[in-house]
Amino acid sequence: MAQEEIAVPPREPRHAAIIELASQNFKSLDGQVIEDRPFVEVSLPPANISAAANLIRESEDFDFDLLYDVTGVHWPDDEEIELVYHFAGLEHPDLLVLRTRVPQDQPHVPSITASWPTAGWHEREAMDMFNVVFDGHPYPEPLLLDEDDLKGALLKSQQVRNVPDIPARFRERGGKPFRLWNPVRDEVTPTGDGPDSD
Amino acid sequence: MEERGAGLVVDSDFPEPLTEEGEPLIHDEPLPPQIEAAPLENLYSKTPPNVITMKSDELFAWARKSSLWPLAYGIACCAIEMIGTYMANYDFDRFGVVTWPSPRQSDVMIVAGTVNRKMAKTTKLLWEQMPMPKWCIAMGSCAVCGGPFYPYMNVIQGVDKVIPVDVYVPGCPPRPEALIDGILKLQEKIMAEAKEGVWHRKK
Amino acid sequence: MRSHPREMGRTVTDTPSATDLATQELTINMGPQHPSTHGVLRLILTVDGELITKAIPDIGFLHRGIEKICETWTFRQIPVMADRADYLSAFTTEFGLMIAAEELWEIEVPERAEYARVILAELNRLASHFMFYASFGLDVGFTTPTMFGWRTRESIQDLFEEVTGARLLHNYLAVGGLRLDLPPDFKDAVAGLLPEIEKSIDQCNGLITDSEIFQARTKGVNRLSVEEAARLGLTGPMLRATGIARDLRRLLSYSIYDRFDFDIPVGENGDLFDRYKVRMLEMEQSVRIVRQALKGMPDEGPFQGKVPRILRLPEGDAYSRTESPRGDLCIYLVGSGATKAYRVKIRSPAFVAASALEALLPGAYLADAVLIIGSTDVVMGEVDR
Repeated sequence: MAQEEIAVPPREPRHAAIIELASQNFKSLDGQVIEDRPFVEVSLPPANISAAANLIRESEDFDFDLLYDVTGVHWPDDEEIELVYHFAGLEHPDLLVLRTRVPQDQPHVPSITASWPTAGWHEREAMDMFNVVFDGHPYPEPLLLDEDDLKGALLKSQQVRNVPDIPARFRERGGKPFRLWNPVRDEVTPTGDGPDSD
Repeated sequence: MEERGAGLVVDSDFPEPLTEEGEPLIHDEPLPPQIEAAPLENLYSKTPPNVITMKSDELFAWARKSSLWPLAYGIACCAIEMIGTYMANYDFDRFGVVTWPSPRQSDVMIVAGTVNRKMAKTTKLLWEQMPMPKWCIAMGSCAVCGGPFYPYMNVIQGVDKVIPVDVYVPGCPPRPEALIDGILKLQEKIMAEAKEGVWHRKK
Repeated sequence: MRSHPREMGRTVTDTPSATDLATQELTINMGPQHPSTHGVLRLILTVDGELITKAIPDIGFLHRGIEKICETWTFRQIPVMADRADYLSAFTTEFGLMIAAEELWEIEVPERAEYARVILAELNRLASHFMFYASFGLDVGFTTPTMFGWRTRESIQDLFEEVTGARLLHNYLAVGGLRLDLPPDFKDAVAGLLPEIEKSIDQCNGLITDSEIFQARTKGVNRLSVEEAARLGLTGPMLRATGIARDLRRLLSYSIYDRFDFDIPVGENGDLFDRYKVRMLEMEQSVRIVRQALKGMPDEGPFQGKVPRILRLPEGDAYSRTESPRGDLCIYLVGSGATKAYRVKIRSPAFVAASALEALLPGAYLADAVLIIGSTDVVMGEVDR
């Protein structure tokens, strides 16, 4: 039978403690704690990601039990793909962020599915969207896109269909900017700007 | 005087039942004046009993349009509005529309949502599994033309690139009233098809 | 009540069907067109008799590039996409996106807009949970819950239509507040709706929660421990059903949630009944929050903060975490100094719940598969994005 329960108030954010812990533990893995960030962020070489994730899993001091996501970001100027791993805890509001950058032509990262099984789908998604290869993934099949010509959909080089320009007769009407409708409510406070200023 | 009914002896001398106050229990009040109904202006009133004269195509079409069974096939946001139309507030049953989970016994496919390349194969398969005669309603901007997702390469710009569509219902998502209007338009179309003999020619 | 193999501590190969009789494994396909998969989810199930031995979820049938389109549109247009990600509770995704954007821009949100956001988000949570009730009732085998759930959902949608102009996908929140002012009778309309919602929750509970048949069907089925749920990445009601009171509204107190007094319902076993019951109890708490927010909401005041005329996202990134009806909804927003967002990542709880089906389904009866899918409350728009 389910019951209602007042939760214990969250523990104080232990930002400084985690920073110290991270700088100690990730030193052997060439990890660098990034300064002045809202969360604890560690930059790592891609080869050590699996070991770092395993460390977070095994170590009881860290106390991070949830893997939130594996996000890819494409930086075409550097010809690199950044992978961001967000870890969260069950009973505290802190976040631990691992960042790594892989070159676009050799996008090989070790998979962290051995220590974090839920990473399986996140990595497969990054595989589809950024063509990253996760070495050691147990089921490296396409997840969202099943056709080869669509692979790498979120790379900046992958174009979208052209957006047709709005015809001039819709854009301007009698010299005034065209609105689909005019706001009819009287008590519109003039702070901020209207809905279609861009 | 005695009358023999079906197993019941009616005795007219039997005392009338009274209430405790001594008033008759059953009031023999005169019936309210009957309103004379106008003769019905429908198919039955025009024909002799048990005889209908019409083209068989029209008769079948009339039967088909009165009980359209759409395939239970919701893809995206529009499916929520479609389910809302089936439910009590909008009550799709009024139009003979009953959702059906199998394509084998369905008449209509309401494509409610975005069709992408992966889903197009399934949509095509389901359409081919449906027996003739069958119709398709493209519900929502996505099924009509790709909707707000048309720039993305994986999205098909309208389900009519995959299967033939009879009625387009615009909106993102369309209100339930719009979907009901789509069904009414489809009913009109089915009757018009029968008048033109489309199905006869197709065969 | 019949015993469940997982409960009995047996593995699938120990069951009599696998050892005493010569059986053959059968692979069956479920979906993407299936009335009980809550959208276009496909499952490839391997069954041995009545027991599922392996389940492979297949998604991508609704992948429509929400994240890619977010990169090609200006930031003011993005809420349209956020709505369509989780179409059952559109306000929550908009809310998360706006929190991330306001963190990036460091914009203050006026008091009245904050209260309006909380009220709308909680009402949307109610609408989403009514939808869960409707579909879960149908999955169990009752038809009436569907009608009950949708009736109240329609009432809430009518209120949303009065406020935003749209029934389902609203596009109402904007950076720094709301896109439009609230209608003058907003508070009265919400206050008038709350008794109806409370009455409806009671009716819904009376209909199936205490029903002997319903409990026999759901209690003890597909139990889940806290460790296992965390290992699968599950959050929200799925995690709370296992007995841990983790709610981001309390844990992070984002927006103005620290001002409200509400309980966090938890379950015990993490079985199907607890997952259902936690959501039903959460609905009562949402009504409590809305009632308190109506009391505290100022009648007068701006609905939008000071926002620059042309929104250029500053360089940098922001990560917002909100409690959606399905769990932790996180939005990772990267700006590069342009009017368009450089990267928008929606970490959806339903995506993780769908991936967890791979571990939840093996060992269960085939007849329970529909219930287990229903209890995760997946929304395919959010899974595939």
